[in-house]
Amino acid sequence: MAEENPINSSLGSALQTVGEAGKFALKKGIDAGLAALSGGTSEAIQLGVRALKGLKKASEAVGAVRQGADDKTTLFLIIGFGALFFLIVVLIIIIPAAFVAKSVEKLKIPFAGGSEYLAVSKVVTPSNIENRDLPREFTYTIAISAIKENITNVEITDSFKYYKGGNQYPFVPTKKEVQGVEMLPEKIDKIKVGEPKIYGYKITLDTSFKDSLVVNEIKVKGNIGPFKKETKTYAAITIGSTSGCFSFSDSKDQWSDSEKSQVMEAVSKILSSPRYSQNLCQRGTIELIRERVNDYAHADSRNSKIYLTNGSSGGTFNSQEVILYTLSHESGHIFANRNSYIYNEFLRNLFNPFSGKQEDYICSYPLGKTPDEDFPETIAVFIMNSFYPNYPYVHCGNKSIDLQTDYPKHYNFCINNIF
Amino acid sequence: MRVFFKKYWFLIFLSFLATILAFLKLLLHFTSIPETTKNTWNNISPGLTTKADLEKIIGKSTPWKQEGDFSIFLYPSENQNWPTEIYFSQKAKKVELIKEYFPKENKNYQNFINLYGQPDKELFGPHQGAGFSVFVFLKRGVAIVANPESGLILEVWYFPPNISLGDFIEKFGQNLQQAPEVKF
Repeated sequence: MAEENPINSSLGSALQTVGEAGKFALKKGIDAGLAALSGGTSEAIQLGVRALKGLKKASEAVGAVRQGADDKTTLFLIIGFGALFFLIVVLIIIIPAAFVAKSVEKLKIPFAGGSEYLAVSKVVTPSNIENRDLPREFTYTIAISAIKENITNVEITDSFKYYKGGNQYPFVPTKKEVQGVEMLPEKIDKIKVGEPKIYGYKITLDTSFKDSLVVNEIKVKGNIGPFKKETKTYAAITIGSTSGCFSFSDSKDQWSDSEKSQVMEAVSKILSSPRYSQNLCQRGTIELIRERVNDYAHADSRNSKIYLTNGSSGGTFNSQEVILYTLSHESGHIFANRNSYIYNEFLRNLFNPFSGKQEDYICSYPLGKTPDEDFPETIAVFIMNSFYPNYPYVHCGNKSIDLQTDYPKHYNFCINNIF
Repeated sequence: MRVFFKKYWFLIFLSFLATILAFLKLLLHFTSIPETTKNTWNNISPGLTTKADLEKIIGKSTPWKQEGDFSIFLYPSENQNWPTEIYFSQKAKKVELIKEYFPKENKNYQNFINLYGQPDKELFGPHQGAGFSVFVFLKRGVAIVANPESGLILEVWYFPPNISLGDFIEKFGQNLQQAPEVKF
């Protein structure tokens, strides 16, 4: 049995009710008004009489409508006006809806391949100093290599900015030559596979850089055959008490100055990608709590707290690399909680059990393998590969991990969505 | 034109009113509870749907995998790469659980709280390190894997309404914890 459309039914009955009631009220009102005014002589009363006569005609027109399709013009007008008003209302809905859709579109994260042809690394020394050490000279060393094929027409963009008091400022430092090392050019004709190009320069930062994080971004793009490939990396310097969104808390055990300094150096590396830094820090401070126990470090992502312990074997603070690895992993938990749309995309793209094409969990994480541990581990391995490639602590068995080679989907996800 | 409006003002008024009514009806339609948040999902009702009923809906198919008592069948979803899982209990001879992955964007944590009130229980599963918990609405037969801060939902589960928490955990939540784990 065909069911009646509920919209038509309710609309029809509503219209009928309104029509009946309107017509009844109008007719009675008009009749009463005409009776009362029929003897009047003033112009106003005459006008009133004429107006009411008009209303009566309108009322009769309604009657005509109800009698059916005798008057096709009237029917046409009703449909026409109905359609016109409906169109206006629909436009009122559609136009703002288009803007809403556009803003939703912005949240969607693209997923595409990254460059596997070009590698660039940049190191700055020193990377962490006290305010009292300013003014001071810093040395940058840059290595650019072709991985699979020779690269031609290489273009280099090298830019600086610093973060201070929650604000970001671009600046252009004066670069000086480092003895025996070629200055970084803006263009290179060709880089051959197996022949990396090494460059360097020095800059001086004055006392205006107190309590700031100085970030340098280098972008390299070049041609591989007919294709243009691009990659980028960062180097950062922390000066004084800047710590991005990280803050030290003595709520459990007390931090020593040297531990703080070690952590600050790791923070400068973690925050050196502006994109990662912005998304990690977008919802306020991350509390760093020192816990002097021989156990794994851990994170409370909902409350933005990281507990840095001595490590399961007690040696975390004996190694700058281990501090970076640990803090990168734990801050990855906070990042996942603060950017659940990115975590959602990570799951959708990397862990589809139905596709049969999912990539394995990263093997270096020593405990239970779950997506919510694999995500921060991906971040940690990416950061470690960027600053300490082939560092043996990030390993599976005897082999250190290279994210790009060993877990290309994880690597591409990092390049396209996180860093 | 003026004469026309004067002559037919009442009809114009009626057309306008009809449009407003139609608009209100549409608005009510869009703000009503989406069908997929009810306990019956695409005509499959956990606790009621038999194998024969299920075959009428998904056709005769072999289970994607076997997990304990459950034969898990797949049902195509709007998300091409993530079909919905239908758990058929061999003991009960009924569908007992439906798991929908990455539901539509219009479903978020707050929608569910507005519809069902506060969850009966928060449990902790494999996404807790990213701030996602399993929020269980026992009377409604619905659980969501959601991040309450962002509102994002990873999964919606449909199961027989009004079961006890113990039954829920025993049947569907054996890998869930009642308290958050420390995430290393």
